Amino acid sequence: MEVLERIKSINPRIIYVLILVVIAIPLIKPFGLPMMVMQPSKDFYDVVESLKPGARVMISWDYGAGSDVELDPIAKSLLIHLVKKGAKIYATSSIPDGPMFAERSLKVLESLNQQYGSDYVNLGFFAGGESGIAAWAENFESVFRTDWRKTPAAQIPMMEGIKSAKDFDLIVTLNTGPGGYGTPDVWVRQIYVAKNVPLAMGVTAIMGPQTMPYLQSHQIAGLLVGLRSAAEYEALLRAPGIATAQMDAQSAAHTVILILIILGNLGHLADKKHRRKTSK
Amino acid sequence: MLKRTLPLAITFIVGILMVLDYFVKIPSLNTSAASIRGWMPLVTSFAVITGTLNLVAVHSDRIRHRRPGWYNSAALFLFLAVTVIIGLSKGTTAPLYRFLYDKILIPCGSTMAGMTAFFIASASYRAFRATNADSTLLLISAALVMLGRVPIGEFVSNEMPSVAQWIMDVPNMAGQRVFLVCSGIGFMSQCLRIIVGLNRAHLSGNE
Repeated sequence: MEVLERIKSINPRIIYVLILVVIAIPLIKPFGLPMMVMQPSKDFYDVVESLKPGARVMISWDYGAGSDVELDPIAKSLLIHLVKKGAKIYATSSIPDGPMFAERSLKVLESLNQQYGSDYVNLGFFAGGESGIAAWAENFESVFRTDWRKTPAAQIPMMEGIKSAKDFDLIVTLNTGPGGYGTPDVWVRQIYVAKNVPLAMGVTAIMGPQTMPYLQSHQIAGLLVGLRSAAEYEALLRAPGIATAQMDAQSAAHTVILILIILGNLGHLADKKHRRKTSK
Repeated sequence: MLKRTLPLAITFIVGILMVLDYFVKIPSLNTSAASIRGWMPLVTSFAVITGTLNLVAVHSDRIRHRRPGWYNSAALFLFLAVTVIIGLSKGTTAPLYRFLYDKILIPCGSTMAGMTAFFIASASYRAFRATNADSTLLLISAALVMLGRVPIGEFVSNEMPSVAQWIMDVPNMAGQRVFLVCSGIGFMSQCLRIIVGLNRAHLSGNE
């Protein structure tokens, strides 16, 4: 009984060390736990798989440094898949930091022999959040006159024929949610509802519950949620990467947190019993 | 007149124009609305300038009065100056500018995000208690989703991912839809109040 009472007051420092150790071990030496691929990831994969060679796909890097760990693996897997399908990739961002994160992810294209300007382009940041999206969705040139490297759009071969959002076969937002300028609901309103252009999303795990209604209502064609979906996408591409390795660390951390919750509750029950006894 | 009536009139005219543009197809009206949308990114770009000025005002005040943690404000000014100088002189595509992101900002941001795992673990242990029927239900649902979202859940039971997905797709979805619809209606009513001039907080800071 005394042990149960003690476990309800474990020093937080012990918890911090425990979490550090259980996250570090699988990152150094992954367990390689098998993982099932869930339907939303399969659906997203099928959307990209259905694209024809030469399809135009816009991806918006709507996240900052805090979400890079979760969303960069999604971006890289998606880019690899798009290259396999022969799609043209147009990178942009609704937040000022976004183009830097796009550049980081786009490095993967250089290793796949993709040519800047003819296979992919980074259009940089567009200001205005929802108004900005509405502006380029209607008139692309009114917002994107140069790319991020300040090359005039007229001199970029793959910009030819892009007049509005309707010229894209798929638009994807990699989104960090509230705090961003172009939140998921904004993209749904301005791209799917107003322009009826296929829209897909990759969001952080914390944003998953909020964005799922859009998937069920078919307002978005695909949804990838956090590191788990990134790992599932890597499995679908048969190219295990950083997300697959990080899933083992997440498994270990979740298990420890669950054990701590159970211990906390056992301690709470013991404390309750003890109080009842002493009050009698 | 110029301070209140004119901004209210502009808000009303532009607001009505943008609403009509969505529902009515009249070429002159649609062109006007498209022009206004084209100005928006330009207008909102000024928010970066006002935001920076506000940041400078707040943090210079902290340094001047030696408030607790003033040296953090000094560090902010140092990095702000370095970023602006490199950005303006070398351009945002320069390797040195990318170095700031790749080697300083991203590791710092990832560290900040990663630290939440430690606090969540400690907070879950201390606060996630089954004290009544509601909290027990929440606890069980959370535990199932936590297990179902990681490969170890499949190790426990093959059905675990499907159970977690069901919780997300059915009970969670019902709650989220209520939230989405209610916030949508609230958003519409707030927009209408601004268009017709009932809400004037954006003009003076007071209702």
